[in-house]
Amino acid sequence: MLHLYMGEENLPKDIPVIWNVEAAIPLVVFSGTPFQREVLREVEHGEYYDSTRFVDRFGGLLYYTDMSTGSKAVMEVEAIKDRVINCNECGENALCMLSHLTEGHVFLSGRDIGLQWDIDCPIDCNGRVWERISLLNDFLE
Amino acid sequence: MVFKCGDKTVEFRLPCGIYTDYSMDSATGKTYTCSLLNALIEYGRTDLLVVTYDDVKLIGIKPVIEKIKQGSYSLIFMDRANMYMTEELFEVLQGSQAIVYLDYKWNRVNRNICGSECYIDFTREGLLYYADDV
Repeated sequence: MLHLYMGEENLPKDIPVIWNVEAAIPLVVFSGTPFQREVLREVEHGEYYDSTRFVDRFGGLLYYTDMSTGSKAVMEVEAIKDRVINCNECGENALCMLSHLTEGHVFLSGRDIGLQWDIDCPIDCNGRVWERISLLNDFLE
Repeated sequence: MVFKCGDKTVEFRLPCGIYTDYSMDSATGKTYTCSLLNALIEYGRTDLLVVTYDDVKLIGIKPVIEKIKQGSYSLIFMDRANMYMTEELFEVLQGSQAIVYLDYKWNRVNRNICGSECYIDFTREGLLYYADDV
């Protein structure tokens, strides 16, 4: 199940948090998983190239450490399932990528953030399970 | 200011000032602009300043402020600027004769760090003008 924590007071005590997603990106094996390819396509407007690089929107090659912070954060959610990933710096398009995931731990600080993405499977938000994120959105609003 | 990036030629046509990312989306700031800046650096421009959050963590914000005060930059790019922006830094940026691009996820983090949002001209679309034929 995808776990969402909104507000620091709701963070679990027993799961470490990755606050600096930039620093943690070496923990992600950049192997071109379907999710990574989707993030590169949708967020970076590029494509996977090899284990260290991707083709950027201009057709140039960039190291995956040069991806946007949002792309890094959601890739870490997929790859590092035993940590909470700080997704505060994710833009809406990166957050939308989370709809492809059914596992992982996501932290967002603001309670006033409307979740623009939807997901077909249940989501746990602050310890309460919602069948769909749209229902959670209704609750948050 | 004209330079090439991949098969593109890009021209900056903006007056000096402070610009930031209006979009709520990821990959509209850093990757987008880093790609261009990489090309700029390869192009041999020395009147550029790129500041990253890692730089600031390493050396602190004061040396960055001094560098901007003493330098004469055409373009200053500040990656993840929301993570280290201060009122003093912002004042120095305002006083510089550069195009300043703030990669500033203002919508999610520390949006009030400089006191208000109105200090930024939210006109990202005008920052880069694509001119394949230049």
